[in-house]
Amino acid sequence: MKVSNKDLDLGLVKRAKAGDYQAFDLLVLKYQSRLISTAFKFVKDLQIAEDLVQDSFIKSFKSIDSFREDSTFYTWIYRITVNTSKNYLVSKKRKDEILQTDISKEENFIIEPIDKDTPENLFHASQLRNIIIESLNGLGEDTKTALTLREFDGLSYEQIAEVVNCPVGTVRSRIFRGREVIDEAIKEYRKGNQSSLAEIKP
Amino acid sequence: MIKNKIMKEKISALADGELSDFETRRILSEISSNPEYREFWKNIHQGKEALENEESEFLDIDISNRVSFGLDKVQLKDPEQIKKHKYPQASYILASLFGFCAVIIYSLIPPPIESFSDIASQRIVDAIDSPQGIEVLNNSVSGLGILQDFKSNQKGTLANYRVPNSNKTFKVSLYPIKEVNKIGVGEATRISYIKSKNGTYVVSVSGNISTEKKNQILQNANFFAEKIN
Repeated sequence: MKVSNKDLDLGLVKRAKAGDYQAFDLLVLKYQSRLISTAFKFVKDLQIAEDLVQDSFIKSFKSIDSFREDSTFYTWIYRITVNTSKNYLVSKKRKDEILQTDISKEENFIIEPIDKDTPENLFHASQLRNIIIESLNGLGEDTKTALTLREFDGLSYEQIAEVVNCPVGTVRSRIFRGREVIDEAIKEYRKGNQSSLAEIKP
Repeated sequence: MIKNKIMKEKISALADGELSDFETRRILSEISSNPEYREFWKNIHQGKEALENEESEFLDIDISNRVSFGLDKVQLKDPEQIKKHKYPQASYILASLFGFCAVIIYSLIPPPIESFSDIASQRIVDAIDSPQGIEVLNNSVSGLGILQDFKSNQKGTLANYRVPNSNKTFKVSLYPIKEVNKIGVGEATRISYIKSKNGTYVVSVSGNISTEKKNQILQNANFFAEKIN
């Protein structure tokens, strides 16, 4: 029986419940970027967003036993991150003594559009995304097709195998080969990241 | 190298939820214990995030270390550490073997013969600490009148004494001759040598008592030593 993404997360959660932190670490690696983006939408400060997501993961690990497995782990950690971010704003507003209304009511929070005042982050993200897309485009046709059907269309290996008319094992190998190339490109990007930034910064 | 590729292919399938339950269980511990696999796992999800979400602007941020430190967990990421942990079973076997050899060797070595110094020291300790302390001390320092121990605390071969009805105190120590530098020799210190079958020892007496009394104590110490030799 194949393990779906939701089941995979639940499997990791079960291991985390049994005290296996390393399983939890894989969930952190998987969802950290998305959650930082979420927290950033609230606080508009990257450092604070990172802190809040760190807190959220710590809270979730400490209360992992209370996670009911009828929802997905991502939904749960997302909710924790949103609440942590809101609580931060409440406490910050109190501290700043600019509280004019009852902000404990959720509807008083308006999620404003992300400030585009983080050019460095945007530069990093777009560069990395470009590198990933370039790597994808540079793949052989078969590999590229398999990976595209998987990542953009969300097809299962079996469905991809039907579409491209090849065994499931071949699909699995092709997707892996594509990811291997992307993995190398990301590693190269990280290596050269510092020097590239130095050249760009005035 | 081939194993590495096979593992990474499985990690790739795992990230898509396309791995059997049995394989999943096996591979999870591999990912966690191998930083290269862990990074591959991270990069797969980074790639997915980049392709799925065009607005994602924090692709290359990694707070996993901070989370693990926040929870007092230690992550294995340093490639040097990988080398050290590459063959953990071998380390355990070597450690076990070493421990086993140590036990065997230790069991073959005859128990050390208690030295004169140890015996003498213990006698002094016993003399001071035991209920019969005063009596033993009186015997050891006969001719000096009644002595009381000034302090019960003494470090093995060193004992402090006080003469009743006066504020005079003195110190007696006993060391193997090679440890003679441990004796704080001052002008008022009197020393004597005790020869035993276990070697030569130095007895010293210092304090604000007369030289005559110090000599008497040294003689008594010699006598005491002969009794226990």
